[in-house]
Amino acid sequence: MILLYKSWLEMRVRLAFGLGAISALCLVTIWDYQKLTHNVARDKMMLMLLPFTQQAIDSVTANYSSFIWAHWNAFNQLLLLPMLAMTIASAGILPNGACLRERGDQNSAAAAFMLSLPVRRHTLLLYRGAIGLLALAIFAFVPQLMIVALSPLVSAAYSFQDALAYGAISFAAMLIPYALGLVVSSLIDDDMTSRLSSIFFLIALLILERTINPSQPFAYYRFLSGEAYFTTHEILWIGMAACTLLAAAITWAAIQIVERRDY
Amino acid sequence: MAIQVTGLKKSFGKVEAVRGLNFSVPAGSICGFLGRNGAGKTTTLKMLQGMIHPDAGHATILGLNIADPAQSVQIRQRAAFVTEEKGTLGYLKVSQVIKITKAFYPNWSNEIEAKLLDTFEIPTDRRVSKLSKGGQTKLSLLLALARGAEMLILDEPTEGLDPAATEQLLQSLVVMSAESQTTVFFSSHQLAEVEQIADRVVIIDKGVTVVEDSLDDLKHNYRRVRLVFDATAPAIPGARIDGRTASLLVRHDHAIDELRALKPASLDIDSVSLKEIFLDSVKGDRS
Amino acid sequence: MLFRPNPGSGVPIYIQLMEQVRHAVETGALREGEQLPGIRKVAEDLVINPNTVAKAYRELEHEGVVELRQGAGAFIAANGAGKAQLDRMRKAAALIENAIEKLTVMGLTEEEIRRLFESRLTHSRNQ
Repeated sequence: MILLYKSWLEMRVRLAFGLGAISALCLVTIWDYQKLTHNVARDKMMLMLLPFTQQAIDSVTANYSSFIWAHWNAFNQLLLLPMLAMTIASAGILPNGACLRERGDQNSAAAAFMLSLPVRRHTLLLYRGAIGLLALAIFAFVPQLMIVALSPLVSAAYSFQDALAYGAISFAAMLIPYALGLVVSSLIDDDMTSRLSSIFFLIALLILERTINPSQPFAYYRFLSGEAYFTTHEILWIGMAACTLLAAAITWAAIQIVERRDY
Repeated sequence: MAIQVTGLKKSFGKVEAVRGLNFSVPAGSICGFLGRNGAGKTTTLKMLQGMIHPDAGHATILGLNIADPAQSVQIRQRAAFVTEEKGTLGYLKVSQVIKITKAFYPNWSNEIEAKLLDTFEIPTDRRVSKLSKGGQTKLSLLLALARGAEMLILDEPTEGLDPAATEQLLQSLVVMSAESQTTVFFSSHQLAEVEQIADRVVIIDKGVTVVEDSLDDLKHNYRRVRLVFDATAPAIPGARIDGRTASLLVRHDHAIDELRALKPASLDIDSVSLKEIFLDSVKGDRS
Repeated sequence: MLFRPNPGSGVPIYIQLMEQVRHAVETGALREGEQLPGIRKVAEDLVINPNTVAKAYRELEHEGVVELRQGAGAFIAANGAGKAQLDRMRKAAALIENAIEKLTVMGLTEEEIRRLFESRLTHSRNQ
């Protein structure tokens, strides 16, 4: 459909940047394995800064998948993925930031154009939303698959099953910041403001989670990192369902806002 | 009626932009929409398009209700809007924007597209954001005119266009009117253009309609009367008094008889241009 | 053949068009039976509203200067020239009335007005 094509054109720059950042970071992580293989204590200390349960931290050992979890899933991914999800989302009907030098008046011009087409507002939002899911999937799975493919270079092996599991968990987790990004962009037209507010929100959430008792059953960042899978080797299906439902509800809110507001 | 507006209201915070607007535009006419800056023209046009939700009142376009989201989609299928921003999607190339727009309109005319690309000299390979402001306006107009719409609703379509492009646009509009009976409703500050191609005008001021008439009737009925008196001119409602001279616009012939009864030393009657009618209609408080 | 009317003048465009056609008929530029350009063509060439052109043609038909034939267009009617003349006389009468009105307001008597007219006519004849 032509709207998918248009949303794709808008998104591809951000997708490219995001993918580049993720891939670079992933490569660095894999490469680091050679230097940091047996520094388990240091890993544990690092993890204590973040909102993980003691049980998880205790499970960290010197083996490769432990390393990957500690460095990638629990650390790099934590910082990068929600931010990328919100960035990809921040457009709503307006194609914010599709061109890096987008000016404010171009945004209102674009909104005026999109709203002159014979399409319902929620349709515009949903098509944009759908193409964003593609980006989320790429961000979730590509690094995991990279790790599987490139680990032999550092004389290690990473389970394909693990990769898929962590990928799926990350994808589900990213749905929430993504939906929040849709809401923020439906309220705030200015690209810079919406992105900055998203970043502040994510950092605030991280700090909040860290200060609250970490043995709470459900916490966002812990879920994103796949901590449950790391400790029990079982996917937390209820967490996946919760993420999906919550994201759907938040998206519904975004649709309501978009339908009712003036442009 | 192609457009029917009844009691439309819209406020932004404390500012009342549109305060109970009423007017209608018959199908097949070319109607100019005039008003000073801030009179409520753009707000009204955006409400018709569905970008802004009215606070109160009712409007239909081609019989469809603007406040109903599903009908509003149908409106945008059959009527073409060009907003004040006259923008499209800046980060895309001209050809891509045309491609995207075309996909929505089965009645798209490739001939008009080709003709306007040629007369407006729009480079298809260039990014829209790299076009001049006039170029972007021309592109928006092309997208509106080529889609085979029954009706065109344009917000200052000639703004930023050079005289040649302006004339080309006006010509395209009259040809569409002649060939397809396309209704055109356009706002403009260029009264000369309105006088040239419009057969009806709607003038609004401070959010309400002050004039709604056919242009021919306006020119038939309005007269400028200049009176010179032997002594200081008497106070005449609506007149500009300057010592012994009084000058005013009158609407009906019997008003002239009343003025004659004041026994002026001389009385001159002239026809008026749209500009004079406009200025007279929007000046502050009128009796 | 028809030239651009002046939109800014106080005279409605359709009336200007009508005068152009009548003038063309009187001077012989348009003869009986000849076809006027189509509405679309006039609108496009002069960049004016086609409804205005249609109105001008209809009014000319009403006056008898022009004949509208279904599906074919507008043609100069038989004795269209004569009808065009009629209108000219009507207009002249209005001009005279206006002048007399103004002169009366100025304070001239009927006798003074008549003498004024004759002297000016003689004057212009001798030019």
